[in-house]
Amino acid sequence: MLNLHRCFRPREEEVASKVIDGEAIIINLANGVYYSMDKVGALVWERLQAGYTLDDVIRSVTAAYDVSPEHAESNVVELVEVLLQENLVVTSENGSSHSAEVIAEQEDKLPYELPKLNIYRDMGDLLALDPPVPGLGDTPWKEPEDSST
Amino acid sequence: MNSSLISCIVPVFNGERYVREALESILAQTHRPLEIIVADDGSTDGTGAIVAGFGERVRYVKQSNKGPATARNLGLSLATGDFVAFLDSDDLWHPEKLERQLGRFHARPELDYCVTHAQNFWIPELEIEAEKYQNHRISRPMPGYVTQTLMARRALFEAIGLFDSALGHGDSTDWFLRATERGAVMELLPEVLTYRRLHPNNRSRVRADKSRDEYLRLLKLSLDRKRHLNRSV
Repeated sequence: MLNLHRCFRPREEEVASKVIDGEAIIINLANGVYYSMDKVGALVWERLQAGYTLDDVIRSVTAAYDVSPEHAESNVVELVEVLLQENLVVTSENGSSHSAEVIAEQEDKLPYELPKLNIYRDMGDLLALDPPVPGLGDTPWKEPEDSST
Repeated sequence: MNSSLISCIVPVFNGERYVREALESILAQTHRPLEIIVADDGSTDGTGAIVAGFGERVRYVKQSNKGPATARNLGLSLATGDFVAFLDSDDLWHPEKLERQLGRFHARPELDYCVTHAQNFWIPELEIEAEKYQNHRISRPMPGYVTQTLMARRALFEAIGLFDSALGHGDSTDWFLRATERGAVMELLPEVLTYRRLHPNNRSRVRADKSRDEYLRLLKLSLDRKRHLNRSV
């Protein structure tokens, strides 16, 4: 079980992402595998990116969507587990609390849909050669870790 | 029409330092006949003079600075071979690159385009960076879905379209995505037949942040196109 007080931030050295027209597009630049999530999933991704604790991410979901806290928690935790498996996020210690003033309950809640990470492995080779990795100082590539990366 | 003529298109912008080597690696190809077209994207350095030194072996055309996609398209508009290949002015080909690729087209008449593996190499001034990354994936042969490894039937560009000149860096990725979506028949050769030079001015390095955004938008557009296609079937 994941610790709900923890943050799970995108692994920014090699994961690039952007929410475009309500859809989160995510690519692992190390292997060219890319992902998409819309609606609830896109909201979760945005909140993780913003450094919300898992608890606050879940509260953001229940604030915007018509879903019970228990249901949202189990779905969001499951989603974050998949994000961890796919090596898209890492656990980060320093979470900032986003309490009530940030997560405002919406009056007209949106119909809830199960958040789902769509995975596209078909273009892996195609997208892996020339990864436009974000600026990391002098070199645009991630620091080498070991020969298996 | 000559069914084995390969048009080699070299887009270049201020490439005086390496363009000679690139052209020599084309002239060193074991395959003939070749047509070499240098599409100069508005260079302000000595590129034109260096290319002129190759005489009639190389056709030189120049446009105002509009980006590499437009330069590649300019080269394509002048190409007369049944096959086209591209080489960036700072990169190199293995002498047998075109011969081996053409062999695949002869063996597989259905083949639309062929790419090879590519190997990065660092210029001597970046020796420290090269050492630092010697065990990293960027130091190992990679499947080369980039224009430098690409050899395609020229007719394929009529089906897939040209390179998108609105894109600053992702024009080749966009083209490969469109080719894949259209079901173009591709073969990736396992051998390293293209060498990519890493230097401080590589476009992917200089434009890293912008390119990253562009990549994500390209993926979104590609997903939208696929979903639209699935809905309309």
